[in-house]
Order: sequence, then C-alpha cells, then structure tokens
Amino acid sequence: MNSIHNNGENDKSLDEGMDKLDQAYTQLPDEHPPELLDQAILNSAHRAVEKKPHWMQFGWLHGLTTAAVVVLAISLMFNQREQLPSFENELKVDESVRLRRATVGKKQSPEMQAGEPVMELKEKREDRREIYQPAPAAAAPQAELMESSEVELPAETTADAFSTVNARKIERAKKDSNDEDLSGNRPADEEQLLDNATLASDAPELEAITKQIQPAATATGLREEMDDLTDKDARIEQQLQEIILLKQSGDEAWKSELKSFIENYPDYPLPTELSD
Amino acid sequence: MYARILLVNSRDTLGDMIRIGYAAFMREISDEKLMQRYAKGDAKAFDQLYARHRAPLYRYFIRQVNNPATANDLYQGAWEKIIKARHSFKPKAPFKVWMYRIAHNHLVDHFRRMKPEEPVEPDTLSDRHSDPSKDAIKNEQNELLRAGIGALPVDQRNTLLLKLESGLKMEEIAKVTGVGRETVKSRLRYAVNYLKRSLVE
Repeated sequence: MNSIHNNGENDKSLDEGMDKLDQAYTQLPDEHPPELLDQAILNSAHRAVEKKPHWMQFGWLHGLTTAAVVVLAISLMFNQREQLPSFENELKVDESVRLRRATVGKKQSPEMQAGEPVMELKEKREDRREIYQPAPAAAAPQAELMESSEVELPAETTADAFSTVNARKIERAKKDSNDEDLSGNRPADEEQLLDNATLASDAPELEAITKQIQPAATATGLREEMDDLTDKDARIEQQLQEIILLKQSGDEAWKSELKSFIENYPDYPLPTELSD
Repeated sequence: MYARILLVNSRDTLGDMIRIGYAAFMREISDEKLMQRYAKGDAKAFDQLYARHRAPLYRYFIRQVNNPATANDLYQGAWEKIIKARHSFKPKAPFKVWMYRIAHNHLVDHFRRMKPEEPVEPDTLSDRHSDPSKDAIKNEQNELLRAGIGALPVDQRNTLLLKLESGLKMEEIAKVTGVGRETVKSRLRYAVNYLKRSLVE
C-alpha cells in the first residue's frame, strides 16, 4: 500500500518537475538546420521517388530484347552462309550449260547449213534442251545412273546409229514436205528431226555433260527411246544390206525381197543402190 | 482582349486555389498518411512531413552532441535513412515513434563509432559553454539548462530530449530506446532531479 502511495507521489513529483523543465526548455533559443542542409535532404527525397523513364523501369526486359535481337541476327547470318555454297553450285551448272550451248552452236549439221533458218532452229533446240536442265540437288544420283547405263550401251555405237537413222528420217521428211511448204517454214516434225540429228552428232559430248547435269529420269527415258529406235532401224538396215548383197551377187531374188520390204515399210527411204 | 485577361486571371486564381487547397489538405493529413503517400512516390508529402519534423529532430541531435557540424551530419544521415526505409514504414505504428527510433539508432551508432575519450563529458560541455561572449548574449538560465542537459549521462539525456522534443509518451520512448517503461521513468526522474539541483545551485 505504501509502495503504491510512494509510486503515485513519485509520478506526481516527476510530472511537476517535467512541467517546470518543459517551460524552461521552451525558453531556449530555437535552433533550425541550415537551409542548405534542408535543400540537400529535400532533393535527396525527391530523387528517391523520381519516376524513371518507362524503358528504365524494365531494364531487364530491355536487356533481354537486345540479347534476343543479337542471337537472331547471328543465327540469320550463319543461315545465309550455309545457303551460299549451293548457290555457287547452281552458278557452276549454269556456266557448264552456257559452254555447252556455245559448243553446240558451232557444230551445225550439213542440212542446217544448206540455207535453212539456222538461228531459229538453234534457239528452238536450246529451248528444248533447257527442259532437260536438272535440279542441282539431283546431280549425284543422276551421275550414278548414267554410269550404270554406260556399261550396257557403248556411247559411240549409240551415237552413230542414232545419227544414221535420223539422217534418213530427215531425207524422208524433206521429200514429203517439199510440195507442202514452199515458204521456207519447216514443219514441226522436220525441225524435231533436225534437232535430233544435231543431238546425235554431238552425242559423245552431250553424254559427257548430261552425266553431270541431266536428271536421272529424263536420261533413262531418252536412253530407252534411243535403244528402241536403234534396234528397229538396225534390223531394217540389215535387211536392206542383205537385199543389196543379193543384187550385187546377181541373184534375182533381190527383187522379190525388195518388194516385200516396200510392202512392210512403204515410207522407209531406200538406199541409192536400190532406189533405181 | 478583356475576356482573355479575365480568362488568364481566372485561370491563375483557380490555380492558386488549387494550390492553397492542396496545401491545406496536406496540412490536415496525418504523418502516417503522408509517409504512405511519399512511399508511393508523392514527393510533396515528404515536403510536408519534413516541414513538420525538421526543427525538433535537429534540436534532438544538436542538444545531444552540442557540435553543429556533427549535429548536421547526424541529422542528414538520419533523414537519409528515413528516405531509404520509406517502404518499410507500417502505418500501424505512429510515424514519430518510427522516425525517432531511426534517429536514436543513428545516434547510438555515432556514439559507438566515437573513441572512448571522445564522448561528451559534462565538464567539457560546461567549459565549452562558459564562453563570456555567448553568456553575454544568451540568457543565463537558458545557458545553465543547456549546460545541465549536456552534462547528463547519455541515456538520461537521450530519454529527456526524446520527451521534451518529440513529446512522445513514456511507452513510446520505451519503444524507441528499446528499454522498459519503468527504465524510461527512472531515467527521466534522475535527469529532472539533476537539472533541478544544477539550476538551483
């Protein structure tokens, strides 16, 4: 009880003492911080809450975007570099075709030199050959196929047979078209034959180039067609040779043989030994 | 022409009214709300807060160390800490308690950094303020009080100045200084009795 009473008295005396001290303390001269210090603190406070530009608020995003752009640019650059060699291959193929055209243009068949519109034919022939231009990617398998076909059929034999047959066809076509076309325009069939003849004369060279550039499918089809023509014409030629030999030996049977030949092949042009 | 002048004047008047209204609005806002606004980025709220507490906080420091240069450093450092800690302020606690706790900790750090022979000694303070030129200008009683406060032990002086400058309650001072309420009361009693004696003598 006494302690509580004492505590109350102590608090009372403390409060009184504090009141008197407070009154005396307020009499002290007022002291303020220097104005420069005020300004420094306020500036610091304002800077702390100053709004940054939008792009600075997302600094990480800015960095990420920059990195992504750099990575994209580098990958594009490498991608472009990888594509460059194939483009160079295409250029090489184009160059070989151009050289081939120039070579073919110099060699002209005798039929074409005899006053025919050579340039027009050449252009048409080149256009036709362009159809056979291969895709660069197919170069490797095509070469293999051409090599395999080389084993079955010697190139020289094929070229000779092809040229002989086509020369005959040209003669026959000329005969047919003499009456029909006097204006100088060749029929389409004749042009094709002339073209084939030129191709046949250039066969070894053409084969060397087609080994590199012709697509496999086209080369195989052409080869089969040539085989068919060669077989058929070789048989006919052999038959004609036999008839000529009969005639030269004095056997009269050659006439009956010739008659049956003409019945079988009425349009086939006869050699000069038999034509009279 | 007149209409234009009238328009400009009315616009200026409206601007003034808005400014005055905003200032009045700011004056009415509590410390806690102002600090919250400042933490959200309202620099003007800090201006108002600073205007309210600059003088008491400065006196708290200068009457602790009795050295204007040191007091300036401590004062600026304390405000820097308040600015940095703006996001950690919780409006549940009174702003004053939070602010003086930062100031008190800053001061304690300062005393800890000082060399043992450097702490302010009562005799030194009394000698420093016995400058005859100052005595002539200042009131003798004020000088005695100032010298008496400076002569108090650090804990008692700190508690007394918190009570006199901030107007905090005993419980709040206890929170600021990190001691119990009775310890605060005891320190205050000793300080008051010491100053009473010194003033009477």
